[in-house]
Amino acid sequence: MRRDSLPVFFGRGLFAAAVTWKALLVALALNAVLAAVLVRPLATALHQTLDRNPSADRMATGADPLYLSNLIRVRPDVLGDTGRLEELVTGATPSDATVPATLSSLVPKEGVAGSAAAFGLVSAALAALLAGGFAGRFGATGDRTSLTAFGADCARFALPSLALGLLSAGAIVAAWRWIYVGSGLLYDPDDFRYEWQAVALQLLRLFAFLLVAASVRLVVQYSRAAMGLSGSANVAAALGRGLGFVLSHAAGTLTLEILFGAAGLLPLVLWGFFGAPWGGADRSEFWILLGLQQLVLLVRIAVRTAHLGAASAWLSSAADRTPIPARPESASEAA
Amino acid sequence: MPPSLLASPAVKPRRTLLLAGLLLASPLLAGPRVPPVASYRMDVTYDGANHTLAGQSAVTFVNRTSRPFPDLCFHLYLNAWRNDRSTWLREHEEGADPARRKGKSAEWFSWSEIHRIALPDGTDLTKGLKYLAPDDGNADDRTVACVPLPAPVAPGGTLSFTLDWAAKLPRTRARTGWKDDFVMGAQWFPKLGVATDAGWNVHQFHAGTEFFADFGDYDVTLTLPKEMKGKAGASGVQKEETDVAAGVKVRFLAEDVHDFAWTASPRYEVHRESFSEPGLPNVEMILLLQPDHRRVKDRYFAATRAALREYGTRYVPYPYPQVTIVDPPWGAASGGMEYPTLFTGGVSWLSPAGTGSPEGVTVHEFGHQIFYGLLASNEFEEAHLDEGFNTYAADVTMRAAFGEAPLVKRFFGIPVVFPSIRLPRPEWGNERYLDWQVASRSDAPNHPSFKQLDRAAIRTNAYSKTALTLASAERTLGAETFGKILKSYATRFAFRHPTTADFRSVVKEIAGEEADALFREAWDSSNTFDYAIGSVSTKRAGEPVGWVGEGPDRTFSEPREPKGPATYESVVVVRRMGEAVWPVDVEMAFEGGHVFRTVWDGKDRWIRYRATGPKLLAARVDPDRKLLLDVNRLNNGMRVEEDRRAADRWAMRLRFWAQNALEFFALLGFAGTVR
Repeated sequence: MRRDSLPVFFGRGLFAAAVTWKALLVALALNAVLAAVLVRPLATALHQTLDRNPSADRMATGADPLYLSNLIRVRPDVLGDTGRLEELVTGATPSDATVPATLSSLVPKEGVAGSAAAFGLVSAALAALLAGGFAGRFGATGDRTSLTAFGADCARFALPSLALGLLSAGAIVAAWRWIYVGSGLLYDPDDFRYEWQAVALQLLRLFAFLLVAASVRLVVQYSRAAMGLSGSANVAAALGRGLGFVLSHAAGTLTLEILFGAAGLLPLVLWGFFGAPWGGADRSEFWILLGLQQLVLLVRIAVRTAHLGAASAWLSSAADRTPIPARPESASEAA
Repeated sequence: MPPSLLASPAVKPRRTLLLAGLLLASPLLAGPRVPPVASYRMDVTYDGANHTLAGQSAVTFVNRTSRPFPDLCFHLYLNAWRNDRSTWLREHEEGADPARRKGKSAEWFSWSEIHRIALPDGTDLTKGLKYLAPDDGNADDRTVACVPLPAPVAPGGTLSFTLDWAAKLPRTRARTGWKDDFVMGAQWFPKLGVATDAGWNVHQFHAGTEFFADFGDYDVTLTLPKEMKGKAGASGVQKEETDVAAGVKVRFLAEDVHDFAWTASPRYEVHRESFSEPGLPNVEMILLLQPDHRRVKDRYFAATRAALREYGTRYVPYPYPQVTIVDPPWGAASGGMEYPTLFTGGVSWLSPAGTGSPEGVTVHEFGHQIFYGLLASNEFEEAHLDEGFNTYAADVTMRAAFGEAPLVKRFFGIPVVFPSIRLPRPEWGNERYLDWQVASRSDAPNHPSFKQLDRAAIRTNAYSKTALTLASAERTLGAETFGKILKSYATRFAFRHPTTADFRSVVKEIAGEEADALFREAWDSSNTFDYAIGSVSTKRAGEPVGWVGEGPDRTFSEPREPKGPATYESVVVVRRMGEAVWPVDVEMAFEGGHVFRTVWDGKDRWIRYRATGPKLLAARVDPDRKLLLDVNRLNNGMRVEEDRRAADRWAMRLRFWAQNALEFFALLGFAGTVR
């Protein structure tokens, strides 16, 4: 197998991520804390409405859709605008505006549903900050597992990392608004003769968005790699190099994006099929399930980080093989 | 108008086939049928290119009221979309989701005009025709027109007259019109109002209400484009189909009905099957199916069979020889509507088995053959009598025939089934009422439908609140008693125009005043139902503390540990948090598996129960979920001691899914580098 083949980069990425296991645990801890804070109001409402409710037996053994609808009705402040959230998740056309005036009109603003968007942005910002730390450790010749050095690298690359993270998040959100949602407002699905035509076009819109989002991620990813390799914080120069690399290796970089995307989703899918819910009583069962859940998350975070490792390894490898411009030499016959 | 049209009697003798069907079902059809009041013989040409209709109608009106009628009043429903000043469009624009508003181009508009109205002696009445707006005084609305007669039609008298008329169908609105090569002719011809002892009952076409008409016979000949040959369906039974120069002529006869609708599309695939069940009349089912819905053909028929069986057994047998099921094409906005002997279903291109589509809409719309077709209530004024009753009945049929459906969500147009989450009937489909009750509760169901605040009020009262009221009454009065009420109501008022008062008279007759009080509470006001356990407590009963005895025997008793088997003193307070009253069960569960149950009439604001004996564990009000109108189920029970298991279980799951959601967000901003 060639040293510059995609499977090799895939493996090198995974290895690089595994070496930074302490930093990965930090990322997992931050993720868990954020999630706990996000869910806290809802968990409190669950306790308030279930702990002394004898009808909670249904919720102790399964899902009771009527409980949820009652909770939304009686405590609308807890979950917030779940209808808007559902529109976002299912890709439905916004129900109350033919042309949304602002981006914020697409997202819920109240309750846990509203907080989710804000927490999501915080999560994206944290991920961008941590990217600087991973960059520093991947680039270091010494101990890559040192948390102290990881923290120092996070601080060192904080601003350019945040700038690139902001660019990435902003471009992807804009792509959702203007490519997926925007294109959906240009036609009435009822005008098609068959429903499959409307569904196909909706999937095409989704595919277009995913393609653009993947491209944005790739450009930002390889721009960071270029910044790390050059040691310069010049974001514009890095973006230029990242864009150039992605354009010249479009198929390969996209394939890596898809491979790592699928690998990152795999643990979640497996959990969806095989993960058991906790019964609510047995503490040892609780700790085992909690551990398995965190393992799923850890693998997902590791795969996300591994993609960076693979991308950087590829860029570095390509840089190694770039011929150094020959210095012209000639005999000088001074007069 | 051709002389032959005028010479032909519009009213024909009763058809033997229908009579046979009615006789077969005679034990259930106890009520007399109403003789025809408004009958139509129509010859209509449909221009498929311009979506226009040119028609001639010979109408026979029999005044079966006690008062003379000095005029004739018509509905011209297609004028609802004549322009944006119509009452329908004004109301629609005020209440519709912006995303669902349709365009302003000519294809979305329609019109209906009477060009000539004349008596058999040639008297031309056309000049006297005037548009009226009895409901809102909107001078721009042209959905009601009246014309004075030279002499009143006396009680018992008959008047025949002819109409020359024309209309243009819109791109489908309110389930009438065209899309591509599909056409649905509903509310499409000038139609008489309902003659009552109070005069003409005519209402403008409103965005939130439906229709009302007198029974009669229809003999309709349609000339359709030739590509629609063999691809048309209508109310009644098809009698002839002949090729003519202009296309194809199709003749339908429909008897003892109060409306006539038709449809045609070259893309229809026509399927026929028979319904045969001991004790019920045989019915031929005709399915006009879209080719991209072939895979659900059998499910349409199975649902129609289930509905014919359940409605026929529980309420009244379907008395007509044929029923036509129309499967409209995508985007036609014609699905889920009822007309006599014909209804439109509707299904998604991807509709996995067991998800209740097209079964749900098929059962519901068939059900209107009973609660609308036979029990022809006034949908303008009492929409709950057909929609609410039928929503309840459809839930009963769906539960009996198909069970509870799983949750289905569409992600980017692709349906995903969650089989572990079953949606209970009738609660799930009618949650809209409970939401509305918290958010608005603007009107009571008995308030005339077209006068209610908005379409949300009309729909919620007509469908959900009424359905939940009936289901709650069934659970409170008992299935047997309630079944008897509904069967009596249906058989007694078949082929008539029943009112809410008629139904409640049956309730009183069979179940008494207390049963009627349930409907008074639910339908005469918009008050909220909410019963709750206010508090529960239990404490170990001990020896008395303080002074005991009298005189020289008086001693002070110190607190001390009780002796003997533990006895507890328990107190439960049940509260009525809403204004509306309904009798409710109260259940107290004690240690050792002891359960005490009682019925509280629910009238006071609260009631306190005291019990001495085993330790109280929990109390519940309405533990069997009889009162489905209760807006807050979360306060219907209370444990003495907390049990954190359910909440802990769900909190753990939610945290995990939140972590994963945040990880997706992290992908937006994460990128790194390797040197």
